Amino acid sequence: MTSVPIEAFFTLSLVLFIIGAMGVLLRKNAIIIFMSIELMLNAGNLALVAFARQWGDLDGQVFVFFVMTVAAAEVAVGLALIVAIFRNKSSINIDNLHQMEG
Amino acid sequence: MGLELALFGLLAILAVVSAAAMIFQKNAVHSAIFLILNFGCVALLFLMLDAPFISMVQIAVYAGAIMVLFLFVIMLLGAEQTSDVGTAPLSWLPGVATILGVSLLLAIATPLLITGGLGLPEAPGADPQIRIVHAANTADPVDITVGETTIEDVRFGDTTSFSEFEAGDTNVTITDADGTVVFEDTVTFAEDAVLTVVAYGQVTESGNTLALAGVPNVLAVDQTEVASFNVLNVAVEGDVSLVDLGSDRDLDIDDGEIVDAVLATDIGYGELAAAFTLPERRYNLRFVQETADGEFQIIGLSNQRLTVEEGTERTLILTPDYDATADGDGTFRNRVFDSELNIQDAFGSPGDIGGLLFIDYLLPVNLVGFLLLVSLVGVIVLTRPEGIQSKRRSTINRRRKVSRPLVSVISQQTGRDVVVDTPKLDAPDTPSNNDDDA
Repeated sequence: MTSVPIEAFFTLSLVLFIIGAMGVLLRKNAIIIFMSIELMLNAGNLALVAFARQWGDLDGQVFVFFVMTVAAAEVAVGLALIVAIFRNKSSINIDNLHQMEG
Repeated sequence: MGLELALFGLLAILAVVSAAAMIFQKNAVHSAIFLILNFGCVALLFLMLDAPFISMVQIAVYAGAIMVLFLFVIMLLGAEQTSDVGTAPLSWLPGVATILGVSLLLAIATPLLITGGLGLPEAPGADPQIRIVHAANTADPVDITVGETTIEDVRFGDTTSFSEFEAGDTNVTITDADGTVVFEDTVTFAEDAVLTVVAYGQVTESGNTLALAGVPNVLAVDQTEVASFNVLNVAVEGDVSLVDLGSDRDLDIDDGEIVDAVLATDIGYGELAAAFTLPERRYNLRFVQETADGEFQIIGLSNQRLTVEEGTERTLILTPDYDATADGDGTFRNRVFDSELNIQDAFGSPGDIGGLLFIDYLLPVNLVGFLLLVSLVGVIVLTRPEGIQSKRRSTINRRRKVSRPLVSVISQQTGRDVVVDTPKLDAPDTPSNNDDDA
């Protein structure tokens, strides 16, 4: 059993999540935005595993397993989207993707 | 404690720095490599949090498969360098995002600092696991009630399997076949305890001397190279010893001392010897009692060689043989109660999570598998060479070719002009004829 308090893990997960959110907001490269989303998912996973340890309940770890599976599917589809967009627009800078503005 | 805290601090700093570097790198390939570093740190943190399976999945799936996919796409598109400056219609966004991020951090961290933590209770302990061995010299089967559970028709020598009971004070009642309560007592089961409760003693017409003894078992043993032993004497008054005779059948005594290896000594009536471990091999174990005149007498476990296997746990209980004609002190039979070591999967181990996934979470697992299948099809559709648009165009083209006049098609195929009698082509107007008939 580890003696590091759960608050430490929770705070670290919070910091990582906010860094990921900042990455989504600040960057224009669609791939880096995607990587920031992965960072946020990972921060959530860290909190889940920490709480699973705290409660002595494995359900949290099982949920992390599902999050990872869904993230894998999401990355595959998302990168395919980026490839498709790049083929049309020759750019993955999200500022160039404003067709919805009309 | 200090070491773990230092390790956590190191990993946490590395994770935060690599995450920040990931955000601020201009080159997307460098970003991806920093993210791999971050995932590696988080995997080690998972390991610290008793989640070895999740940790390995994190390295294999996240840092391995997913990041390779990222790097592959970055290289494929040649998108390493993408300038973030220039076309920025939302020039206020970075500042606002920074303010929002910092305020979110403060909003959650400040109460945490003020209250001094989340104030979560410690993880509750597991329910105690109890099994019951009936080693009392009773003529008829008895019913043993532990708390709410009643085990019926327990005969001499019966052993129940381990089952979970609630922690705390529990009433244990033993009733004989007539329904008379022959024993009643309150025992306390501690959390996380794994106990073998041995009911011993005698029930005679003049009264009974039933008692309970608890033998603590270790169901999850870390060291698997030895077998651990618990020895309980509920047969004879006075001290007995457990001796390994080795290859011969007789006790070797020299100068009033036992030459053979003595494994446990001075086990009084109802007493439990200190648990000990033995390396794996065959043993020739005997219970030995010193008689009043200084002689040693083998009193149990005769003609029985014990093969000790590593990673097992044995509970040897010396009990008087049940014999209706004997008074209980005539012949002794040694009963060896083996607890087949039921190695419990450690918290967070693959076996533990796998059991949970395939028993409690079978439907979600199937759904996630279906989701992966759908995403596979989605990726294939999205990245087809023609793309969605050109596919539609080719369909339109094909239709246009078919809808050309038949005459021109024939003339093109044969290379000759077809002499067409226009009225003849129009003449077989079957649908209208059919309508007239109707």
